[in-house]
Amino acid sequence: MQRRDFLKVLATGSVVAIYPSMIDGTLHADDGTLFETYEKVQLVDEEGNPILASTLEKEKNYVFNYPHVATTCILLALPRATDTKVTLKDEDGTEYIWNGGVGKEKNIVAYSGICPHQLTHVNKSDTFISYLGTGKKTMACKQDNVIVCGSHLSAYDPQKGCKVIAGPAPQPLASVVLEHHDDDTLWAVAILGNDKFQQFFKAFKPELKEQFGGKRKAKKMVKNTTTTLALADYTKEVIQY
Amino acid sequence: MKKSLLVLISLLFISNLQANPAEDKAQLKANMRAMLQSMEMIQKGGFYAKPEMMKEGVLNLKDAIKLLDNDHAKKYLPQEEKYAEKFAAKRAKMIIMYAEDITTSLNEENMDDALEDYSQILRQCSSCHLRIRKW
Repeated sequence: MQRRDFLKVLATGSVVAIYPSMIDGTLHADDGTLFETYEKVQLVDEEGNPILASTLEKEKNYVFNYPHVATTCILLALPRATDTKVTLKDEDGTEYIWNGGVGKEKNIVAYSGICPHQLTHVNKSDTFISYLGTGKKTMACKQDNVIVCGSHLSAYDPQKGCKVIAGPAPQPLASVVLEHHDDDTLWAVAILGNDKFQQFFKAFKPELKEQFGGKRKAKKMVKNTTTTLALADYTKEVIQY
Repeated sequence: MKKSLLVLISLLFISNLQANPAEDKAQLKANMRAMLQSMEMIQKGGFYAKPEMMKEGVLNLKDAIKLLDNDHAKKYLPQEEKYAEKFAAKRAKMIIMYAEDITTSLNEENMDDALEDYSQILRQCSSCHLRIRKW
């Protein structure tokens, strides 16, 4: 290898280390990190205006599509700063590290809206998976401030990277890696954890055909911006147990 | 006239009171058996590459599942599981969606997709049994 090429490799490596959104592909790092980067997209409202982290209502369920047009994620401003450097384990036993929330208060998090147990997911007709905030009761567990999948009552702790705290779910919800910029804007850059997207596309082919006109269209990647809405405005009905 | 009307209303009321849990349970059992037979028919059609048999199974299944759709789920669920009516109705809706896709896939001569739909129906069945019947 020539000196110039060697320097290029070194430079690329340092960019990757500093700015994970520039990595293209899946990483299985030595420390157990598992994530896949996708196009960096900005969270915007229905009019296309940037979503500002400080304007998010605490404990309210918001949703946006990422990284595919059909994979809906849940965005939350939690009541307090999240834990940091949480070690999580996927269903294969692979460990990875969830770094924690973003924003001034380090309380903003986003997770895939697909439950890894039987792929219950956020959708436009009826949504069985959502966050239940402070004081809200669920049949899934005694704790509040949890994301609950109402299908089989799996509960996840969004303060801790959506670690499973109850129910049959075999692993945490995959999390969306967010970036919070100096201008208070929010950007989705990657997915951390075992996302189940491919199983989702396979299992819900007829539903995706109906909603998007086919699996291929549903798999289309989100580009530049993604519209962020309150869950209640996105889905006809939110069902919580 | 008034008297006979009152008697008729009373009789209807009494018969309505009598047609309940036990009858509903029996009806649900009968429909579950019908669903099982329909699934066996779809599976057999798949094994023997007989699309018409699979389509017949689909029609039977769609008919039997009606009992658990939005309007009826609450009535037929066991007392302690009635709260989960929306969950059960959702499973019924998904079963209908996959069943219809079996027919679509068969019309497109795509047996692979039809069998995938069949396995997804099984998943919906087990999903409901896991929750409602506490496997």
